[in-house]
Amino acid sequence: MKIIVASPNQTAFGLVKNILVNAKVQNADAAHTTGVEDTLAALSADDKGRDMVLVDWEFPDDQLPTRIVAAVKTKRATTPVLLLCVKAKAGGTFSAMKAGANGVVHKPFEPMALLRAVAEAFKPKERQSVNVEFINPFIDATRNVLQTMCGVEIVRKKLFLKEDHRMLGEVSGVMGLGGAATGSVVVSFHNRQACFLVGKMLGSETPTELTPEVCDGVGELINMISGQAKATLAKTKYHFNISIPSVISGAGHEISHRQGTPNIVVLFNFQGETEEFALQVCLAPTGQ
Amino acid sequence: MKILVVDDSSTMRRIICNTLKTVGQEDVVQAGDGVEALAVLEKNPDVQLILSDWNMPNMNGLDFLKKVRETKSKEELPTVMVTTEAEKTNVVTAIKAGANNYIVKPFTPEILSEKVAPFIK
Repeated sequence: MKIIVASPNQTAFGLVKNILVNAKVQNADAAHTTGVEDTLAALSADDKGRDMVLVDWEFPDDQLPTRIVAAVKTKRATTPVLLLCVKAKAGGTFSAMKAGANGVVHKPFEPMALLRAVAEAFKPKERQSVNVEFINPFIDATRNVLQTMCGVEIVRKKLFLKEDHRMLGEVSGVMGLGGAATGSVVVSFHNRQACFLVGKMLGSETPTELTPEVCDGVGELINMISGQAKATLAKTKYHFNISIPSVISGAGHEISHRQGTPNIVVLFNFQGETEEFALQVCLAPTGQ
Repeated sequence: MKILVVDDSSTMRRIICNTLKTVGQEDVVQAGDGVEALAVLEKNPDVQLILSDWNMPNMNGLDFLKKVRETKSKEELPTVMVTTEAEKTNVVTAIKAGANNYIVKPFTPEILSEKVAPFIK
């Protein structure tokens, strides 16, 4: 096992190395790198699932952590990559998550937290069969709801599977799904996007901050998205019931999803803009 | 005429009220769930039209509708469901329970105005 710590200084590397030594982790090796090239060079020559990369989020070049993640995942998609990040900044790590990072270890970390993350990363993964036939009704519903209620056209971007519970945006509308299929659907916006959409819905000025009214509007958006997708999936094995939506806000907030079920994230942006928002769907027939 | 708008989302109530205003209906009372709506109805016996959501806490729109129909017929107090429940079975259930019409969210102001128009006096 080799743990590569990409960090601008020796501190994180020293901590990790000490934890591995003190815990007497068998056959553990650690390496310190400071950039993309040396991190790639530190990966084992063969791909036997023995490497793991920890990327410090605190580089002076704040784009570098994401570049390191992307480079490692491009070279070897199966290598687990975790970010080392203080909790307060975890909300800003989505670029790295999108690039393929598998999760975040919050700094300062206890030895057990790191060891758990390492054990999880090296645990043999059950192969998840990913069936995405149910995702299109949610994508269509998102497009239709934002177009009809807000007059906003959206562009679909990347679709990927997500393992951790961290949300892209600072405010998320959540709908729990039950019945013949269970799971959840979440739409997660940056504050500015949520304010803009709710202003458009109400035909009023764009609110300047995340007010209870904006949160209520985000809840209503996920309500409509879920309702429309529900109707489309009514005659399939993904038929579900909806209830009352909830809204969670705050940078780096987390929302748990059904364990063992693929959690599909679809990114969108408003037409003409680059900032993304995310639709996250985790759904499976009940009992599967 | 006085209209009762029932929805647990204050945003949705505002959207509906804004649309009603465009068709000259400004006398609107509001409630956030079925229980509150029954109380509002008791205080406002002159309500002549109800627009109600389905999924709400405390008492949902369908149960609220059934309560209303215990004392008022479809002709006496028209009630239009405005809901995300878009399945045909939901529409049938609501109509059987006494709904006069059914609007599926999301809707445009034009659709809301059109569906409500037959009940505006």
